[in-house]
Amino acid sequence: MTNTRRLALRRGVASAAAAVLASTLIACGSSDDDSRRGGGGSGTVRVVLQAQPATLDPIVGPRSGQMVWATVLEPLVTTDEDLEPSEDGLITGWERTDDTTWTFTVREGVSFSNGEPADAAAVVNTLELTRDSDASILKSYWANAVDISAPDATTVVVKTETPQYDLPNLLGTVYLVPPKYYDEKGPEGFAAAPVGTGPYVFQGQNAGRDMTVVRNDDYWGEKAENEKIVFSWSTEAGQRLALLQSDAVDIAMDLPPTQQDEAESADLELVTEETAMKIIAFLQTDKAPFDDPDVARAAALAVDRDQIVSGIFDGKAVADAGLLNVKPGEEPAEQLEPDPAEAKSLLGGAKVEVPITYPAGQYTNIEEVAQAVGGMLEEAGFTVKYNPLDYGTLTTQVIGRELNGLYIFAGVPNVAVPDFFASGFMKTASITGNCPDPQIDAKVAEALEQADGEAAQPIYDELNTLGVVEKTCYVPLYRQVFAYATQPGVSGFEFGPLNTGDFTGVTIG
Amino acid sequence: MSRVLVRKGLRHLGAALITLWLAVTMAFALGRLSGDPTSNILGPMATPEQRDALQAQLGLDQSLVVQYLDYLKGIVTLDFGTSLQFYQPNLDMILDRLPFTLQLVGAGMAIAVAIGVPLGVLAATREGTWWDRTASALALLGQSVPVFWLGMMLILLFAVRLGWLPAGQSGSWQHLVLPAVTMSLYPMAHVARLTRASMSEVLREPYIDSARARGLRVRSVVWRHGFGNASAPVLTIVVLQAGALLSGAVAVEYVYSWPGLGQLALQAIQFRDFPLVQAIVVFGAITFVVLNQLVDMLHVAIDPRLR
Repeated sequence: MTNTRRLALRRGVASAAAAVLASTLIACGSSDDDSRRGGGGSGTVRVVLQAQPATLDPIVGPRSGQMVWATVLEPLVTTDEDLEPSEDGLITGWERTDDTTWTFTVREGVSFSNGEPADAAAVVNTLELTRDSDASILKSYWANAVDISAPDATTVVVKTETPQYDLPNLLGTVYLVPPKYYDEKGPEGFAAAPVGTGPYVFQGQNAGRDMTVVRNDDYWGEKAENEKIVFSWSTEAGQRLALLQSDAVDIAMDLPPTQQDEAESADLELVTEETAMKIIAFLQTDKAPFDDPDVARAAALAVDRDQIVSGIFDGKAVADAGLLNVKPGEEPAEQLEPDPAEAKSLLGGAKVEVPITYPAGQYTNIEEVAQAVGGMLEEAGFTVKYNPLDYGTLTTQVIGRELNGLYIFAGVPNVAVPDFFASGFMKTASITGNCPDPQIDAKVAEALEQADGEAAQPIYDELNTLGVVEKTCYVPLYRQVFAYATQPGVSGFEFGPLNTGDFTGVTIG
Repeated sequence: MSRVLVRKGLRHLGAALITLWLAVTMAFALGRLSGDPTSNILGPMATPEQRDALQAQLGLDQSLVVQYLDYLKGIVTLDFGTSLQFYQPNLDMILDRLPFTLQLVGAGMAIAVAIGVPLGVLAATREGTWWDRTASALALLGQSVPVFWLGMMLILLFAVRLGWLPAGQSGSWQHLVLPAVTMSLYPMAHVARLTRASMSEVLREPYIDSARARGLRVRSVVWRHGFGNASAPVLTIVVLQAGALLSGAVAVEYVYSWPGLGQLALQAIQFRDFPLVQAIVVFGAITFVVLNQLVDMLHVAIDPRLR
């Protein structure tokens, strides 16, 4: 190698190193400014979530994103502590004019943060987008609404094809969007900079890193106590806890049992809340082996949910014996008690093979839960074959009726009405369709036609008994407990069992 | 001479294009093998009609051949489609995240070279001594330690226990330190081992003896005459490792919640966002092929025998 060439090489390497260093410093420098913009301070609440919200557009977005977008956008109907619709939100009253007609009153004088009026026309627009957009995530819930109109600025009339008592409940998960702005921006543009009527205004996002909302000083309701919330995310639970321990965030969401123990021993404030999310084992009763009612009953009797909760979750989940008891704390009218001896005798020594399908990695400790269910079935005399699938494949196979045996799946209600699971899991034409029965179909329809939830409840009790206790199509296992931890001195965060969060009262002491 | 060079260049370009085509075709096939993404997008409560409408909107109701041709056309026209999960153009998202991955790879490789090269030279110049054995052991350790574990340990020590550095995420130069150190370990070990091997070979050459006999200073013999001639394979591995890290930063980005391409790829895979996965794979393949070409060009520039 000549001196000239060596010199050229050395210069090349030096230039490359300098370029890397310069780009790193430049990039870090610009990030530093951004970080200061969103960094901590007395009025800033820093929250780390489990995942980045897929989109901030509530028309198309999964409800897992509402922890963030609900700071800026508001549901049409708010829910009280008991998860019942209340009249203190954007919609201030409703009346069931006849079996299939509902009249809603919209709050007067509310505007979106961009100045558009949040009136009845805006409500109609949002409901029509929800019902008609191809990618609308709630489309199937609104198929029954045949006519939606706004006779004046504060009145919305919804006509349904068949009677439906829970319409006000369904409005609890429909978020109001500004008609003109949404039309101009489309789902993509709206998601990049959502505009709503909520207690915060969207300030901006650093792609892939964080999203910031600031207090809306023109909010129609009670103003937020903090000035700003910075949402970031980390998929790894250990990292979320480490961020909290190292004072990089004020609140760390969604901590699994191991991190809950660590948070407690690190003297952080740990809060656990029972959620409406249920983990259920479904038996496909129109296919072998569970097309034999004795075999299905044996499987249901073999599973001891209390053992699963205490053994795997160390009490950090709540055993749940019902399917249609949607609200946390609710008990079913009747339940099936585990009886392994009876399960064994029902099988009568027959060798029955059961595939257990579950969404690997989707829910906390789901592998261990599947193993525990399998172990209990084996104890009763079943031969078990495990079939872990990714969530998407499992959903596709469930919907396509491709599975047999037992599969474990979560029921995650958007609203706290029993019909969510009755229509979702019990009807012949439902997500799972694992318990086809004309009697069940008739009762699900009958329940919806009742005057209100109270009148429908006895029918749901009957349905629950039919599906869980008599036909044993469903083996409810437990309710998920949501845990979050905060820095000492952080208070005022309110978590809702339907995966909602109210940050307006958060203060940092 | 120039005709030979042109022919050689065309051959390289042809090979690069074939590699690229294979990579993008594999990305397409794997995306289609992973099943129907509409369940994830619409959720389990969607009606069959709704699923059909979305499939038509995404072009999934077309034959695979039509889908494949559309896909290739998209790549050629730099239209990488829209993410099913984020409702944003894939290329925009990749370009948003790329600077973070470049920062991480750049800083990681800088540390790897700054430590790996002296370590390799040290081992080669003291062959058979405990310096050599220690350096080799360190290099072996660097290649064996799982990145995920190392990342968690560094977080526990430097962020949680000592509070010196942030536990993760991004925002300032301090945020970069732990991920970059974690990222550097494997390539550092690789660079150290290769430097040692290359230097050992060069240090046995007669011109090194000649340089010593002429009374040149040890530093000059080792660095100017020794490392100067041993650096070509090291440079190659540095560039190739940087390419591999660009698409292989997933574990480090996951552990530290670093908002780079690896993290984005992981999210895309989890959601079955196959247009985004495809776009990232295509982008990674293009980067790797370009870097390979760069290495070839550097070799030609450095070594006249290759011209």
